[in-house]
Amino acid sequence: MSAPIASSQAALVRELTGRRLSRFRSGDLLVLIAFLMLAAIVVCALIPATLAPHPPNQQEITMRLLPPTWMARGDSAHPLGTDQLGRDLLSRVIHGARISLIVGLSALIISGFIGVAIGLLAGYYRGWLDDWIMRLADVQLAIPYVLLAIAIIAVIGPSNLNVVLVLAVNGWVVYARLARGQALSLREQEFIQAYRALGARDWRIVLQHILPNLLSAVIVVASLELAGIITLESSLSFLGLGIQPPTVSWGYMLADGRTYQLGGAWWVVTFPGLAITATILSINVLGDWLRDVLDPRLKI
Amino acid sequence: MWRYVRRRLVLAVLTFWAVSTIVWGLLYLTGDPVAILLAGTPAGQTDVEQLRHALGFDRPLPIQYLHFLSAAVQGDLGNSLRSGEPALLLVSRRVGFTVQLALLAMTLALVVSIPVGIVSAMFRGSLTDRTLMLLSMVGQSMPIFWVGLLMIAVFAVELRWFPAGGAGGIKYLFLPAATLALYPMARIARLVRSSLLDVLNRDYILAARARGLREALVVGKHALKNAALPVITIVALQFGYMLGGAVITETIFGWPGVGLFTVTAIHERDFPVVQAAVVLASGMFIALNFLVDLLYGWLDPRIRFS
Repeated sequence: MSAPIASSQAALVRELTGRRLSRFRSGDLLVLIAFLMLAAIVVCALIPATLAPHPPNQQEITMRLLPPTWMARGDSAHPLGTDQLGRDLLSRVIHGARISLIVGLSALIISGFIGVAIGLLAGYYRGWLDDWIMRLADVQLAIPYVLLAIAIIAVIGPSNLNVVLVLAVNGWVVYARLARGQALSLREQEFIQAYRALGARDWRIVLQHILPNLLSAVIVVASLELAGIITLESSLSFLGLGIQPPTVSWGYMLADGRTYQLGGAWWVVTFPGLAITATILSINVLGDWLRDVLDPRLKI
Repeated sequence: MWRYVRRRLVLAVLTFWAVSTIVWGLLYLTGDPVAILLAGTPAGQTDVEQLRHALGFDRPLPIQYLHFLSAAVQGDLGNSLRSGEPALLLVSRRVGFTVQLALLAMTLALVVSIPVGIVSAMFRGSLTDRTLMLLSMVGQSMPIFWVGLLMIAVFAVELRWFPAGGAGGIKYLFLPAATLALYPMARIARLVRSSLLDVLNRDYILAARARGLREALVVGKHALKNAALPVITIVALQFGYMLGGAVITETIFGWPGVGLFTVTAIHERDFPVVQAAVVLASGMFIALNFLVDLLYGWLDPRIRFS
């Protein structure tokens, strides 16, 4: 009587642990791949000149629109081929990583700082300040952001700095709402009330006791926001309203090469596009993973 | 319900007013609106002063704002600097194209994403689920302009199934709509899955199963209805995204909607048209959100009283 039960128990245990292990492994593998991919992109951004075989803007008109090296007319000096001006595509893709990450991270940091600060103020002091800030956030969310961004760029003109500003202006709302929500709920809790009763100043309470409680949520949101910021940057650059040449950006490469794609030079748009997608994808995968690790209940 | 409708309506109107004020304020970002309006034209100093006077930019700022408001209420957002026609009229002629594009794209997105989300949730953890979710993650990560260029490379240049751009019948609309649909498709599929999983854990689902209902009925009738609320929200939000995404899609495919018109206007430095486009698109988005709020209040009576 007991033998079948024991064996079925063993099977159950085996099935349970086996399934858990396999699930753990497949999810983990994806995160690992994403991490390696992002690490490679960061290395490209840090030392592009060392990695790239050619200077990114070096033109060789005689070598224009060469296909990747594994194709019939390919040249071993240009592994991914060349563009319409004979510039080495691999070198340009490597150099493009730098501006995407610089712009993305600076916009992320600016919008994060501003957003968290505003949100903490609104949530901690409440009252009319809170009302106004949150109404402003609602209003901004009511404007389709690509349109708002290009309207602002239309006024202040396209430049690398202006792109960062526009992206930062676009991003603060998410952090402000997050920080406000936390500040609102924390300020009523007993440990905060106790600090206040002990005579702690407001800024001290906010910085030392509310802010740390907010950090993991901010990190998760920021990692997912980064993907959106980089996409928006490359969209603006694609429309000619973002990063300006001679700075190499993936978005502009796509815009620049799209007419040649119709003539059959698929590589001119395929590789920069792959680079953007790989960046966004790895950030998204890592962001999801971070959320599961740091703050599983966070709904975004 | 009426109190709720009235409150939402007031909020929508106030939001719209604030949006128009922000768009009006854009002109003053660099200090001198006339400089922006004349940028790129070889205007002399007398032209600048004449235009400043003609457009009323030499008056005090509050007067200028009141003037803008009273004109805006009558549907006048200034004239195009190129054609001299009313900017709002020019933009609204293009709205039909963008709405067609967005509607077809949203239909495509929903037709694919809802079944995908349901299947993924029902077979959670299976190979199918993991493959679909990985695919949707990839879809969510592909920038829209690259998707558009890939669509052209494959379906227009290689296979010659659809034209690469322009406007005409439905066959011109398909590639742009598919391009615009990809991101919402991926987002909605993931959301349908997660909100369905959320609901499937509830007690009333257990109760339905305990009563011996077929799985199809449990999911189809009891779970889906309750999982619909977050999905409706995201669908409305995605429409807002589409109004923005249409800018890029329309540029790539030469589809003559509001987006392409706006990009052209920017390159021609026709700022009143850009302003009108932003105001109109935001207005459409606000109206849509208002309707969704009503739908919400109808579907979930608790919301009306919060």
